[in-house]
Amino acid sequence: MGKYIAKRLLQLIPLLFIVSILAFGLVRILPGGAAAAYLTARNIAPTKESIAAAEEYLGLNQPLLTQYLLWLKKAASFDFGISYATNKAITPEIFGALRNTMGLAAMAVVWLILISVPLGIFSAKKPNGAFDHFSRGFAFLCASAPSFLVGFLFVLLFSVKLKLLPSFGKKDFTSYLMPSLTLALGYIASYSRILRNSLLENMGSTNVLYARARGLTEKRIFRAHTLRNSMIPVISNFCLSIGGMLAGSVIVESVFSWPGMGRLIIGSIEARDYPMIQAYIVIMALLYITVNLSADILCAAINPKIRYEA
Amino acid sequence: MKTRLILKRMYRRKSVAFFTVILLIIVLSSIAAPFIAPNDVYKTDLLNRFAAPSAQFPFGTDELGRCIFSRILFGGRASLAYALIATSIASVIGTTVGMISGYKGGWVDGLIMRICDIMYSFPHLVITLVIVAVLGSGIYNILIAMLVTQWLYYARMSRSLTINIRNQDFVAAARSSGSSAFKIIFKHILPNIIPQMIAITTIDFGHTILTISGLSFLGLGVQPPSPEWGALINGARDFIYTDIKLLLWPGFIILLVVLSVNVIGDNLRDALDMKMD
Repeated sequence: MGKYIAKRLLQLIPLLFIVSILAFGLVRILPGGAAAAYLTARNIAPTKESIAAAEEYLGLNQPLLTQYLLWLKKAASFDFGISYATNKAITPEIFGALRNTMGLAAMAVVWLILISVPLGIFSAKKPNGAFDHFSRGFAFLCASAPSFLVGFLFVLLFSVKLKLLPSFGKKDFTSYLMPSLTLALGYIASYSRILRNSLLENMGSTNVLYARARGLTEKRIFRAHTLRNSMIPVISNFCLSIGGMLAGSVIVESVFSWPGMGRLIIGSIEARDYPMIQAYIVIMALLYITVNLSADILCAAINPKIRYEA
Repeated sequence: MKTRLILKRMYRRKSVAFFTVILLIIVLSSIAAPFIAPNDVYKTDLLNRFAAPSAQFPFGTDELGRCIFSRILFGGRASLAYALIATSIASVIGTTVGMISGYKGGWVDGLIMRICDIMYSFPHLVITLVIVAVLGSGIYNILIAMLVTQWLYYARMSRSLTINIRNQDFVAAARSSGSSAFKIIFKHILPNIIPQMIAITTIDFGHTILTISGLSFLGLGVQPPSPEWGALINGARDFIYTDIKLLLWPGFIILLVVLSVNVIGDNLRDALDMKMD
């Protein structure tokens, strides 16, 4: 296990290097250059003099390597400089947004477990029965529904018609409910099917037959053997999609005006706020790498096959 | 003969035929949009805003008095065409690279797999957003971003399919009779992996429609007043309290198309006995 973790950590070094090059290089390959973007965001006309002054101010006239090392040194301590658009420090703003997005994703995971596990189990109890057909249809519908449509329909139903939940923003706990469910729906669809298929596969396996021969009750067999083994593909798939969920919240955040990473990046793209975009790349990459690594380690811990094959 | 067998197995469920018809109707009417659209998509009429459905405006009118039905027809042309361009180019490039990678092995394979590993280290949407951030918003930049992220998916799939058949007798026979690698890849391997690649492309087509319309919804893709399904929804979001049909019609059509594509793709996959990761 230790060897596996060490190997995975070693693989991260080139990856982190590439991320830093990409995030740094972004400002260099811009059409028009970073100085022009800075001036536009400041409402200053980009003349020859003002561009030269901005380059001097932003340190863009130094050698490339010096710039990269300076940037890297600061980024390593999570200092991403000043936003072009707001003139405020980037770090507190982006971490605030990150917290909000992670909160949303965490709540989505709760929905995911609450809905997809029962759906999967009940579909597997009677394959091709009425409930299985219903859950298959439901899964197709969830996987095909654009989240902006679902989100606005929720707003109409729960905020406008029933006046139960706030329609936008982040106020209290109730603000989490609709955006997180919208985010979770697409995943609920696929996980309930993965769990169902995996349950069916395990129900016919030899260790279940053996448990039955030992005279264990069906309930006990299901809980201790079938369900346990069936959770492995669900968990490993799930771990892989946490990162996707954090990134995929961009549309949901736009629908519900949620102050998270998605809204931040869309705003930064519109304002051409490059330091903010750089910070977004670094943070998202680090987050995704960490999540994936912990996921892989978790999967290796529950499934020895992975440890030995890797 | 084989194609007929696959189709027969695919259409075992009645729902597949139903969704095929739905998809055909939407696709054909989008293609024929210039001939069947009752009104000009850009013609505004401020005296006739938010009108209810009528003979002249089958789905009613939007906030500027434009015909929603006509805008959806033309929007479908844009949405479907862009998604088709993105998926088909990504599929052709990815399949070719994957076959070469899988058949040749060696350093070519190693290099391509390393690139895949790096790209798969990040969520696709993040890569797309970053590319759009650099190039600026607009549908062509989105198509470029989609290509950059999607071809790898096809490359990985076609590589693993190729590896499965690389060592079969008919490939060995072709090799020992002196066929070039190029000929083996395109004459012997390609026909054997094409049905699977079509199934994968079909399912990806649905995802691509959702992604492109999602990005247009965020204001990064097709810009108003051009009609495109995601852009229509973006335009409608300010009026959800005034008139929800502006949002419901395009939303419902996207749902129908993606649902049909997913059902067809999924059943094609089942018919081919494919195990997906």
